[in-house]
Amino acid sequence: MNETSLELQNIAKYFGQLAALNDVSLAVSNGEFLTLLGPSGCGKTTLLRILTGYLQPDSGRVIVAGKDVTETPPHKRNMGMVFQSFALFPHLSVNDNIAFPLKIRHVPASEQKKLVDEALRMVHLETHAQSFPRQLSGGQQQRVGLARAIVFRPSILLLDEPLSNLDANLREEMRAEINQVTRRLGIASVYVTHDQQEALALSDRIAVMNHGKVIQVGTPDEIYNTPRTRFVADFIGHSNCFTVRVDGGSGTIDGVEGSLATEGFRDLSGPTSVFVHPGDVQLSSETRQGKNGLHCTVVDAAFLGDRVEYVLELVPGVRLKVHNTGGRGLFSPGSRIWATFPSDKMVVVEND
Amino acid sequence: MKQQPVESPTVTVGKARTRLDWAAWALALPLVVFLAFAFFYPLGYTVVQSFLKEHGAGATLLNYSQFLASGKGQGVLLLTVFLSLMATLVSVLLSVPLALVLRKRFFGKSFIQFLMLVPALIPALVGALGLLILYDRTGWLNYFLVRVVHVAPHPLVIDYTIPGMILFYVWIYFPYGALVILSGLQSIDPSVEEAGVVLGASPTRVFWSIVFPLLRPSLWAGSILIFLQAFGAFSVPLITGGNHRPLAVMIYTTATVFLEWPRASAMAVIMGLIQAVLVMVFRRLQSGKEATS
Amino acid sequence: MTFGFRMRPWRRLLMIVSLALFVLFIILPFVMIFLQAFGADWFGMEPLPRAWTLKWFQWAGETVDIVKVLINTLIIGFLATVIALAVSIPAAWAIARRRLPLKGLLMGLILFPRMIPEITYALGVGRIFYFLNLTNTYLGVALAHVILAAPFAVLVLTSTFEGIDNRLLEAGTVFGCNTSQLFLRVILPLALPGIVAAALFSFLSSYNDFVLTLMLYGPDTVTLSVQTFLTFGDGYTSVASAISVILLIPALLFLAALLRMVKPENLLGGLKGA
Repeated sequence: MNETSLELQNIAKYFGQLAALNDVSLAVSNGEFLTLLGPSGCGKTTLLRILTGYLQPDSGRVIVAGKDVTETPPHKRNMGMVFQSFALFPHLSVNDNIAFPLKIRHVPASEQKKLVDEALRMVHLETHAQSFPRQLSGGQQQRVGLARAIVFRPSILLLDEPLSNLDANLREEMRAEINQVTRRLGIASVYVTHDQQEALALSDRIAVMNHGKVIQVGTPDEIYNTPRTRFVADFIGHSNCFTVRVDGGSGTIDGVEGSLATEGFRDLSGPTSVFVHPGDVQLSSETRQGKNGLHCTVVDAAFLGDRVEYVLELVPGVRLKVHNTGGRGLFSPGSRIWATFPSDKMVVVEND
Repeated sequence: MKQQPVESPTVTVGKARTRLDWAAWALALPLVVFLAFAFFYPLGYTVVQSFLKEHGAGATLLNYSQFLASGKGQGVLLLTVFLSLMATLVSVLLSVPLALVLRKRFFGKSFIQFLMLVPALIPALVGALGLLILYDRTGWLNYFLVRVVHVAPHPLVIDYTIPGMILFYVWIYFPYGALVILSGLQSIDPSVEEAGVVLGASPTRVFWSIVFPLLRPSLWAGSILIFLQAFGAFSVPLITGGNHRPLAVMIYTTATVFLEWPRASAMAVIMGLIQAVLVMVFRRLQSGKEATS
Repeated sequence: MTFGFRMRPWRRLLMIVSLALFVLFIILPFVMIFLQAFGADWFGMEPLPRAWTLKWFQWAGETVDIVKVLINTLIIGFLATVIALAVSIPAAWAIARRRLPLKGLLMGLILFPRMIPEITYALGVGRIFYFLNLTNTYLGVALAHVILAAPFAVLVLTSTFEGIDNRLLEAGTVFGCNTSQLFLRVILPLALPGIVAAALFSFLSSYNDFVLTLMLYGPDTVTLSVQTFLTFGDGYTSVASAISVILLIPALLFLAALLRMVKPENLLGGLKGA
């Protein structure tokens, strides 16, 4: 059940002098949904193309279900792929588009019909079987793309930023669709995106990439709550990342009164990044427990009914967001307050 | 970038804000007058001439009927159409692989693209001259075949033959179609081919099942362009045709050598009509295809 | 993006061989012309002439006065260009920027010469110009060439004029230009690339033309292409080749210039050597 479906070993790819991928190794288990998350240029799409065989790696191996397929041409790898630009065949109807991989594999006509109909039902497009791609909306086209990619029950499904070309309001719908279909079929899926929300919502595991390397691999929970580096923290959407100077287990910022202490500081010294969730910071006008507070200025305070959203400034340029739900009154902009960071809620991240 | 025609105060003739600017025809007038006298009038003259008797006064349809009914006339039409069709076919067979190769990046690619255009950018006459020398009985090709690789015991006769003319036509006219085919190929979304490959189609299969159907409109358009050029070919068959005279050459010799102007005029009208009809049919087909594609 | 997977060696070899053959296919006829033009004593099945010479060019200079022919070609080309631009610029302006009634009809008329083979109207043009005493004159031949040049010049200029931003014209007016100043100081500079392209293109149409010129030329207005034909018809292949060389060199230079300005697809739409 948990055997490895797909494995990438030490993949490297150079375009001229540039290392698009630098010693990347990943494994995807049967039925697992792995997302490659990173900014454009990080190498995720290149990696995907190496998986399909469209690009050859300069070194490293691609192993599918225990078999080394690095030398296998792409059309023999039996993977399904959903494209960012949909890539539907314009001259074929929806039905024929979906049936295409089955035709190639010489699946008998009756079986073809069965599989195609089932795929259409899975993406809720039964009524559009005879339409042509140009007659469909973006969302519908992408659903056809999805149907086409799974109709022949590949062992691996690849998705290359499939939601990027869709309107914002469609994305959530499609996301749910993708989730449904992949769970239902239990196919090992590799999903590429730069959108951290998609990654968090869909994945069993996320591999965060930058500059051709995998920075951190983990479950959405791990990535979100314990990012390993500053880059990962920033990318996954944390804005409360700031640098302190650690000395003797205690972290301080030049020009700011107060200090922080946490387990993670123990063996460190020098500049270190920490972050903390906006909801975990406590505010008061006097210090609390001396050890974990920083004196800062309130820059903005917005009352939102169930909570107050503050923007605090530690030093010019370093700002924090804090959500306070304890109805303790409003701190007005300009006031100086103490922000307390519970030591168990602070996460230390590597500077990268 | 198309802009709406504007009537800004300084460039409108006439103060009234008419919806249609008839006065603008004044700008077009020199060209219209020129075309009327230099082109349409001679054309009309030719049409009139075509109905005149060769000897004596009066109107007649003989020029047409004699040409269209005669073996000679039909032979000429057949020859012209045959040459054009064959040249078109071979040109397309040459252009498609060429276009496929030109999709990749390689050393000397822009040179190859330039070469693809060259035959159409020089006077066809000059090209024909060079071709004549090259494929002559004592030319380089025969030298190579007979003396170098010894595959032919006797030199091939290419000049002044029909296969030779087809070859020459291809050399001179294929760029017209090749360019269209190339741009048609480049306009195919590459991810569609990638999709085909990933979903299991071999590269050959991808070409025939995906690329070729999408390329068909360009093939069609390119073919027609080549055909039209070949149909109207004059200087090439003039010096390389030998005893074979396609329509354009026939018209010329009838008029200037035999001085049979009415007959030549009738042939010219027939030729013009055929070509104009082909162009219109092609335009209609093109817009029809675009509507459904 | 093309196939990134490694091309099998034999496939790569096939591609290289085919391309090489293609290059030869296109280039060799030109090589032949050059060899014939500069070669002496080239008989039989031999790869190269026995000697090199300039005598064919000398011959061209002496017997057919090739310098005069070249001058004729250039003068006619220049005249044709000027006339073509003179009639095409206003027409293109009207089409591009005015609400011209029956615009489709006008375009159809202008493009009509390009839709039928040259020979079909060359006959009539030859006759009519003969009656008008325009044969054997620079003007006559040039006017005939305008029939070829104008349609394409109009196309190029129309799209050039359409591309001029209205707001620039408005600005010009606001800053005080009257119509002619507007034309000279704003429109002309902006349209210059298109005008130059149309001019080069018209010149090339005239330079390369054969059919119409053949019907209209006289002893004083022989052009390079006609002379090539005449000389060849007289049996002097080498001299004809020499004349072709003289014809080709400026033509290819012009082409290089033109190709920098105009997209190849548009170029072929208009350039016909028939």
